[in-house]
Amino acid sequence: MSTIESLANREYKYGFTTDIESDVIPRGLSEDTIRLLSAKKDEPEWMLDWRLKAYRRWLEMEEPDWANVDYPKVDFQDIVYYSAPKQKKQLASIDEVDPKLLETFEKLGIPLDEQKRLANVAVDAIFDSVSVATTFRKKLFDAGVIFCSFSEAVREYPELVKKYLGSVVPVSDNYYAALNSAVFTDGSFVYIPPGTRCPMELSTYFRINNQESGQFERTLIVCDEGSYVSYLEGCTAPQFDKNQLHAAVVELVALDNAEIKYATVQNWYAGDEEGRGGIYNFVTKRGKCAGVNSHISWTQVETGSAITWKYPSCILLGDNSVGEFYSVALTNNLQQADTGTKMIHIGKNTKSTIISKGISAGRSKNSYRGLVKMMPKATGSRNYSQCDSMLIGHDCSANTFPYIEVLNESSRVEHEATTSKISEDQIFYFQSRGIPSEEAVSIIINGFCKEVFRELPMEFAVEATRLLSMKLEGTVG
Amino acid sequence: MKLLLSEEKDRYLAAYDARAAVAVAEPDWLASLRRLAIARFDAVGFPTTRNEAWKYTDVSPILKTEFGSSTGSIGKLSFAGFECLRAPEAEGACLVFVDGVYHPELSSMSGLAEGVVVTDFATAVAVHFDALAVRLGVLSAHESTPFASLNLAMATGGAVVLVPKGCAPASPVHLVYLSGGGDEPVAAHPRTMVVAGESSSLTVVETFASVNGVASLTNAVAEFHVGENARVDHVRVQREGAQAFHVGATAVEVRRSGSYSSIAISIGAAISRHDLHVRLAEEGASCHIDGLYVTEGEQHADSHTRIDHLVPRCSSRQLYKGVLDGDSRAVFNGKVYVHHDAQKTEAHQTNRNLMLSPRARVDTKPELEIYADDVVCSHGATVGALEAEEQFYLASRGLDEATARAVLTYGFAEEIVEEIPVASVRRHLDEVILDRFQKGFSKG
Repeated sequence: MSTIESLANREYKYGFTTDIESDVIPRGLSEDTIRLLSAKKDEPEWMLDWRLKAYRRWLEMEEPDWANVDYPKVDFQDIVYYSAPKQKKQLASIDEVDPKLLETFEKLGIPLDEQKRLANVAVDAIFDSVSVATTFRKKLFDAGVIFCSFSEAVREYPELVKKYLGSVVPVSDNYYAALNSAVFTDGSFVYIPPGTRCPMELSTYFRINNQESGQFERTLIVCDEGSYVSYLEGCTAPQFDKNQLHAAVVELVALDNAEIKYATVQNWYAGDEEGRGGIYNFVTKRGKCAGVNSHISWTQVETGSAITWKYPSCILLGDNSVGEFYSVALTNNLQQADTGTKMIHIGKNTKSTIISKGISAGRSKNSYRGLVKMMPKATGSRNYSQCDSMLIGHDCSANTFPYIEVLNESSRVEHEATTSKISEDQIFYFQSRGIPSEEAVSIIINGFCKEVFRELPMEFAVEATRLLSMKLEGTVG
Repeated sequence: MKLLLSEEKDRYLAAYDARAAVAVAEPDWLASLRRLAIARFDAVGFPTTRNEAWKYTDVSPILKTEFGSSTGSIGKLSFAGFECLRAPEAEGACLVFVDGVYHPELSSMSGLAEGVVVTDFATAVAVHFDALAVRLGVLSAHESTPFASLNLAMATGGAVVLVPKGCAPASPVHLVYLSGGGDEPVAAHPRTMVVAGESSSLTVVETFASVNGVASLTNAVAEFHVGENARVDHVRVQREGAQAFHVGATAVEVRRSGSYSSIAISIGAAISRHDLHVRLAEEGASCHIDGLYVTEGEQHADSHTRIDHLVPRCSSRQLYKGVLDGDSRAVFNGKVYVHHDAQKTEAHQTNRNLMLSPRARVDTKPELEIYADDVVCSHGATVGALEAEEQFYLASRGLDEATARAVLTYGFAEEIVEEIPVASVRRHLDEVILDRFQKGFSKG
């Protein structure tokens, strides 16, 4: 690769901070922090109890060290667990949102303004610890769809929250999930009533602004019988030299014949070329196909974060349920990603598909870690996995750790993985057709990721394609 | 590594002390190796399922059994059963061990090519110490398993094969390790060392089998040094009895343009584990490792492989297949590790499992760790049952269901067996597995 490595990396476009007065609680974590946080959010007693229970479990747990990532230990006492932009209480409409916040989201490409916002996508915008605005509420309400911030759901729909919160990711599921359960601040809540097809795409945009804070959001999506929703998630953070923790939990529940599509474009700040700063992205995402013929599909494009530790999973409980995982994970510079999925087949004739594309460049580490488990009663089940890696440069690594556990005879599991690089021949071919090498690389990468991108909603697919070529600028040429 | 089962560990430490107290004086280099090995074993202890490398294999049934130290008794040896294990091709280069103890009267040693050494461990320590001292434990030290450390500390019996530069013995070397020669359960720690000099070529067959139904533990370690431009074919057949426990490790290093081919067959033992570690240490080195595990009843078979691509321009190929019946379990874990700067590596790995019973379980984990960019690597793993269409085809040709299933299963396993380069070993295994499949299907 002689023509490579000459172009400069483009800067992280979303690295700015918004100068806004915030309501911040002192750093540190204790039961008092949780009580204070809960009080600030006016939470009912049961919610506080739930948090405290999680906190006590968390204290007994150990930080996991099995992932193929290295980082200095996180000091949980050095994090601010609540930071909210100060604004007038009780917003009647979007017009009352602080213009500074609207401006921030506009700059991020997420206009919240009624006139300018994306056609047919409802957005819940989360700034540090709280949700600042949710668009298209009226239209969704008319369709019977509940789409609101998590805090609001706790107040307005306590029965639904009580019923489903922690039903997919229990409080003590893992270290970071327990931490999240104790200190989560906000997030999105979605409930689609039976037989309803959500009339528009739902979306949450997460923004970390405060340098000291961590972000702990919680998303819960429940699709009742025969309903459908497509949900998108995006995220960015400013450029700081300090590492920040993002430990989110996402729970999806699909009842009989329901379908949930969940897409993420993750572009947290990844740190600079020397690995200073960046987000630690320790996320637990899990969906439960609780009903028969239910369908959950995860699509993720992971380009940001200093460290990613994330395994969006499906529990295929209902007979004939389907789980899907489509992932593109790109690491550059000193980024580290350990990501993949778990497909737990419990019901009969359940099916899962895993398509994972890893691209590593610079001095980064990119690992796929996955589990496919066929339980004894999951007869006639099927899994197909394909995990391809591409290496750009000789100082990075690409690893594949698939675990396959089959406990019955009639299931079929197939796993394939390949590792390769962009060959000079391929680039030469493009050049001979008059296409410059940088563009050639971008085209090849997009071809490599095609199977995943076509699962994304159109606007996101365009964004993801652009993001990928931007991130790789200067690594190949 | 998690330390547990300290009581069991103490028992093995006591066995070491007992052996050291009565053993004939050993040269310093060996005594100090043994002290280091037992210290490492003491520090690490036996693995538990919390240890990633032993996640799917629980060794506690092995540790619960109390094994005496081996006397090498052959009171129970049935010669009819033993004769069928012998490979006529290896006549003149066959060493036989019972519970780790060398039995010259059962072995045959004659007409070896000039310079070729095929001898037992004790003789090698006395006569060929220059070749042994610099190599013993060098390769298997890479194996972090405490069983390998225990072997180095305890091994008294075993075989040493030295082939000088340019030599290519026409006939294979056959090493037969029998277990359960006496009435009481005993533990044996046999050790094999093979050194193939520059441009030499050699075929080695290791056979592990039980004499009778007594419980036994075979904890075997083999080290293969494949020299520059040398070629070694290695056949490892593990067909111990239903009460036997088998833990084996094979460590291989291949020098410039050398090649190592192995076929590891595992059809016996209640619990068996085999670790195969190949280091492609110089440019142009290659390996081709195949394996077959066939389990039934309550058997548990675990195959771990690791291939290290340390330098550029090496290639590896791997095909492991498994056939599982009854309530048996099989584990496959294959790691291909391409080190930084090992450019132009080509590595391919496949693991295929055939499930014959609804209660069988397979855990497979093919892994790739790659730290170089100009490589072509792939792995694949499949788990499934026999194809209904294929069975229907054979039924339409008049085969009854049991025969059809046996034929298809045999065809699946045969892909590995037919590669065995020693005809008598191949034919014998063919019979054994075909017989097993036929019996299995007619009863089920």
